[in-house]
Amino acid sequence: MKIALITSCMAGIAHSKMAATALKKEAEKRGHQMSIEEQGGHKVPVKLKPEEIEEADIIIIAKAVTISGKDRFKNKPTLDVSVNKAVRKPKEIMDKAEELYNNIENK
Amino acid sequence: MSFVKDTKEVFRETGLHFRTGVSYMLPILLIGGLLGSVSMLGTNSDAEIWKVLKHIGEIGMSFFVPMMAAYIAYSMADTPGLAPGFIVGILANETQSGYLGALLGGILVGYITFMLLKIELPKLWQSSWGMVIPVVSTTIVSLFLVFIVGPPLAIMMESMSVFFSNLSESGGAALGGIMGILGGFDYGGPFSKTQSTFATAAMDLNVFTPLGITGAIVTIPPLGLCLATFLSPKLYTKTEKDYAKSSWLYSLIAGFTEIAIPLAMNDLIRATVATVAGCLVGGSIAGFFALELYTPVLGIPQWFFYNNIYVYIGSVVSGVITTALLVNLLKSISNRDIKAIEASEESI
Repeated sequence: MKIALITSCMAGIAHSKMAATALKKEAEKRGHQMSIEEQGGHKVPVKLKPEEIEEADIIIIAKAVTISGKDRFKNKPTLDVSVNKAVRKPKEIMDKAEELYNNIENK
Repeated sequence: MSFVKDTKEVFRETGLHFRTGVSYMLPILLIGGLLGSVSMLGTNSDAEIWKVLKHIGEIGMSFFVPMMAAYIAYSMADTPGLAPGFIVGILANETQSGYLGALLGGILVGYITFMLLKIELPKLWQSSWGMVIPVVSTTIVSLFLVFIVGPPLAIMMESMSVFFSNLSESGGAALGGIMGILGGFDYGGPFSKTQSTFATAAMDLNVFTPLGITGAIVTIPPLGLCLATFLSPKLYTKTEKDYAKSSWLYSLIAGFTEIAIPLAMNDLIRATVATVAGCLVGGSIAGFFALELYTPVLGIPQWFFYNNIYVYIGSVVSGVITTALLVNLLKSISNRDIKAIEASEESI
């Protein structure tokens, strides 16, 4: 499946990057595609492209601070987790993401 | 009713809203602090440029408190919360309740705006209600701040300021020790943030020792744990060693406690004991010699804004060595099965 990931942390330097790396690694291991947007105080934002959001089957938000531009994902199935959990337990989150995806597919 | 549920939700996430406020505040602190510090270079010069820089720095420093309040409220109530948050924040600044007042005011005004938005009126009234909300919430919280919590908060800030300016050497060491324990405890989590928030609040009072202590302890956990892997490679897995090789320089340049997490993660208790001890040592030394940092920046830029670079180096080095030796000692008397961990890492 295709995943769009948004991570955020206070300064935008450490946690958002680490969460993104951990989840991306886990996602690729399972054969999923992932596009990433990181947010935070000192970060130069690289926004997800509209078509990346459009194509994504699910959205994962791993946040420590409120993310900006939440409206973009309004009609998408979203998994909302804390950034700390993403750093420590990327597997658990990917399990949940797959579960969410399967639930949608089966409907 | 959804009222109770929403209230619970917004309060459970207070930490998130607070962090959002701080996240938006960081750049303004950086601009203000950096320009202010640069302008110190021109203290003896008459050139106009230094005065302009100093003034810009002062604007930044006077605005970080309202900025935080505004974005706490924004995070809670979205756009309708932003303007009330700014006004309450500026008010907190003016009534001398400062950082704490803005924190409280921002949360309150955000919450009240959020709740007022939930009220459903007949359609005819609903559209004008949107314009009334920010006015109502601002009025309520402003009056509350000025007449009820403002005076005691102002006294508290004032006495904090007096306390810090008369800090003795042993008092400073104790302060540094406590901040060190908090800072070394959870690698950039809530405890560390409590200590750095406190340091920023003190900076608002023109007291710079807490910030100096924070600056000194922030790199001790990652550097200490990296050094530990170099001292006894036997005690660490290959992944950990590789990570340490690439991250010691990064922690020196960027200066984040969070960098330590991957090194501490597999053996949290022993690592935490060691980093707490290291930060305790480093913080106490920094506090004892009243190390001051004038700008809330991290990493290499810090080096230029300490009142005494030798104290900084001394406290960091002793903290790092304490951490490294202690963590290796703890690990060597434990039976941590490196081979098993490496095997499980490969099978992932």
